[in-house]
Amino acid sequence: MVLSGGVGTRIFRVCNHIFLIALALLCILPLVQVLAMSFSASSAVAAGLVRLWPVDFTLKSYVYILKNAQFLGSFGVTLQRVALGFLINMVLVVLTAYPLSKGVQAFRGRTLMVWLFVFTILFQGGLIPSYMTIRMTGIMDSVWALVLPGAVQVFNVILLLNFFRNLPKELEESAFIDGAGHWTIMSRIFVPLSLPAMATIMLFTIVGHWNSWFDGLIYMNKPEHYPLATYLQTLIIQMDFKNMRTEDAYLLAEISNRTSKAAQIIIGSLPILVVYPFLQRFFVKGIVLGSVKE
Amino acid sequence: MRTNTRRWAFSLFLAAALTTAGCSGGNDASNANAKSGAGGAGSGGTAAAQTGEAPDPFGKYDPAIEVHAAKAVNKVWKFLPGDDIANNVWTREYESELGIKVAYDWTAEAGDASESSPYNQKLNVSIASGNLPDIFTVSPTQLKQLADAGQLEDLTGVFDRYAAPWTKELMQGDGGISMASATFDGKLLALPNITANIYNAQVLWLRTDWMEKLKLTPPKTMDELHAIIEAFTTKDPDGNGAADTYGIALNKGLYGAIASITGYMNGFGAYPGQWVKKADGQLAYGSTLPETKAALAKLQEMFKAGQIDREFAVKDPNKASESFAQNKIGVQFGENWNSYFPLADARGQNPGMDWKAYAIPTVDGSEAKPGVPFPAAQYTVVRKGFKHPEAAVKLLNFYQEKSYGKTRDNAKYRSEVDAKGEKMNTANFPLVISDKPNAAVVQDIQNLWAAIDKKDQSLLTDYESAYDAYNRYAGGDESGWADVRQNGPQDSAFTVLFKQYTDDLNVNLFGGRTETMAGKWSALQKLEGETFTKIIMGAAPIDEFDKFVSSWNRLGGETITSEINEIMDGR
Repeated sequence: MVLSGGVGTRIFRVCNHIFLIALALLCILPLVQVLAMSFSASSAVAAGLVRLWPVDFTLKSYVYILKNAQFLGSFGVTLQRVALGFLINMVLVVLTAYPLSKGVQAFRGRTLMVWLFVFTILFQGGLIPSYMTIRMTGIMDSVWALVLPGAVQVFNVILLLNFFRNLPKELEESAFIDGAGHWTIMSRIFVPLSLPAMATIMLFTIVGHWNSWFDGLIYMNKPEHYPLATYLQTLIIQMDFKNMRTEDAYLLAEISNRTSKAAQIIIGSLPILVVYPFLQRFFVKGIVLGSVKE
Repeated sequence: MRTNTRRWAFSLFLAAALTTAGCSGGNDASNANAKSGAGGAGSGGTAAAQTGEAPDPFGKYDPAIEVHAAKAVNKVWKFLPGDDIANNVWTREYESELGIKVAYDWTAEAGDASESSPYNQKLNVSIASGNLPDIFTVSPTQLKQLADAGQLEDLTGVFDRYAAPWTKELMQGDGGISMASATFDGKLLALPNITANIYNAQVLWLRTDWMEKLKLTPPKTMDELHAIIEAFTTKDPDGNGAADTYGIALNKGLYGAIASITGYMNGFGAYPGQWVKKADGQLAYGSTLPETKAALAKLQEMFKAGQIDREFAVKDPNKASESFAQNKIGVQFGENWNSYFPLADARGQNPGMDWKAYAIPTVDGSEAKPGVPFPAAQYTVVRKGFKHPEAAVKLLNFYQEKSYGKTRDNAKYRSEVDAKGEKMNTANFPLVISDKPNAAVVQDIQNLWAAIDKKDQSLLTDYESAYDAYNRYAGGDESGWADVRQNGPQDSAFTVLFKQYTDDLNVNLFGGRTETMAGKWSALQKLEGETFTKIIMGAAPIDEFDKFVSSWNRLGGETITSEINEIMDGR
């Protein structure tokens, strides 16, 4: 921490704090209101009476969620997707980053290979070709369609690759002298030493899988198979009132039920909110370490 | 060294294969599709033409055929235990009565039915990748696109031969405009999903407990309505001593089914957002006609007088609805079901509150002629090359017969009740749907009121649940309030629709998409919304309207108008 300087510095610091606090509130308050709405009576919400504290406190919305098969099903799909996707992503990222972190002497085609990977960041097949690839590989409508297309996260590979390159070369050399092979060096030396970078990538991976909704919409053939983010997206879009059939009038009460929507949004974002703080300290340190030691 | 080189070459090959996989996959798909399309069309077409006498509209396939389909679903639909969209009363009857097995390739949430709704996004990807189901539902935009690309089976012949007389009657019940909209170059390429658009005619919802308090009577003319709006603004109808009420509710989209300006404008003989016939017989876009200007001028005046919420321009219908529950609004134009939402919620919060529906007043006190949308917003289509295009027509026959025909069975095909007494709307589950046109609906409503009047349930031809709700409400159960205000025999939105709107409705005459519309329509609609909002809020003078009309025409409106007139002349 810099010690307090002149008056100007102090004024700056006060203003800076006020600005940052305002910014933080701007992010937190909407979430607090959704939380308050989820605990309120639905008529109070419909009247717009709920600000930051529940009105007519009730747990009805949460009881409703526990009985909502589609919500629970989607939650299950997301858990499955995050677990599988996390495993596949992490293994492939490490396996790709390790060889690419070697010098040209050890791995002659290294530069070209890196460029091929970077190429996929800059140019993508686009929606339709990806869709057809998924369809023809026959993994449509399964959890594989959600985890395999993004199995190698090139951005994460480059992050980890740079981290690996900054590890002291002497470590690797001495291990070689002691008779270790590449597998041993990678798993026993490189990976344990890069925990900060790994934590960062873990966070990216988990949050990415948790939040991604569009692939669920395109690749899943039934709403029951939607992952949670896709389900939540269908929850918040407006109903079509045009040409509504009169038989559906009775559904309106349910559609307009904003309290249960709020509760589902809260439950849907809770796990990721819990994971974040634990990994965040690595997150900051990880990126700084990876770049400063360049 | 040697092994190194070989490994390197292999890795390179793998990487190259990965980057090009998408492209080669694409070619295969379109080739395969083109091939099957050409072959199928030939065999399917001749098979239907060869048999001489008229085939049975309900004839059963033996052996059963399988239809691959896609459908928009809604997560709030309820099913009997063990049932789902692929296995319910309709799919079981399809198989046992018609010999048609429906296999859903995919289903997706219907959402808001806009281009970006889950169903439409999924369908757009399906269309673009050449992977169409056999029978599915499309929007007017998708219909035009598929028709232009020649990807749809011609249904002219099979409809003629297989449609039951009752089906033909219902499909022509709107004067034939929906069927005409599904016909391209003389070929029927789709079955329109017709709805009774009389349901979309707007009504005036008034807060009657405030009316009584201020001793006001229901309005016949727009001037009387303006007097009520003024009284609700200035005379403190909620009695809290603060000037915190507004006259009339608007939402930021201006149109729509809740807090809309459509009904208000209809009172001035203005029909924004719809294609109307001018005196010279040509179609014109209602938002650009002088009546709309007159109504906008009045709205601007009301906004200046504080009779409209200053923040309406940022409130969507949900947000605008909050002001009903907050006792801030007593007048709004909307649809017949507004009693369910949002008014029932508002009433839950304020027990003394009451709302009733009235006919739209007019400038001179004559009968209002409300504007209604085009009767078909969706179309059922058959993929080109599907071997049994007549199956779509048979499914339609079956739907209309079982829902509205002589053998109709509402307890089975329209609503089932599970063991716990919970009701589910089975009318949502069929694959091919097209509902009754206005004339048939009017009869059902009259039968409902006769049944209530004579306390005889056997007179009902529909609306069983409304009959139950009426008896509940008459017996003192408040939960029937929304039903009774919508469809009861007195003071309901339906009495307005079916007793007071007896003159012809002003139907939006064009429901499709033209070529120029594809690129320019959304920009024109944006221009319209922005200009109208500015005028109402007084940010632009009323003469801004004339400037809007000329830029609207210049930016493509004129071309679109002539395209539409050309299409209509051809019909």
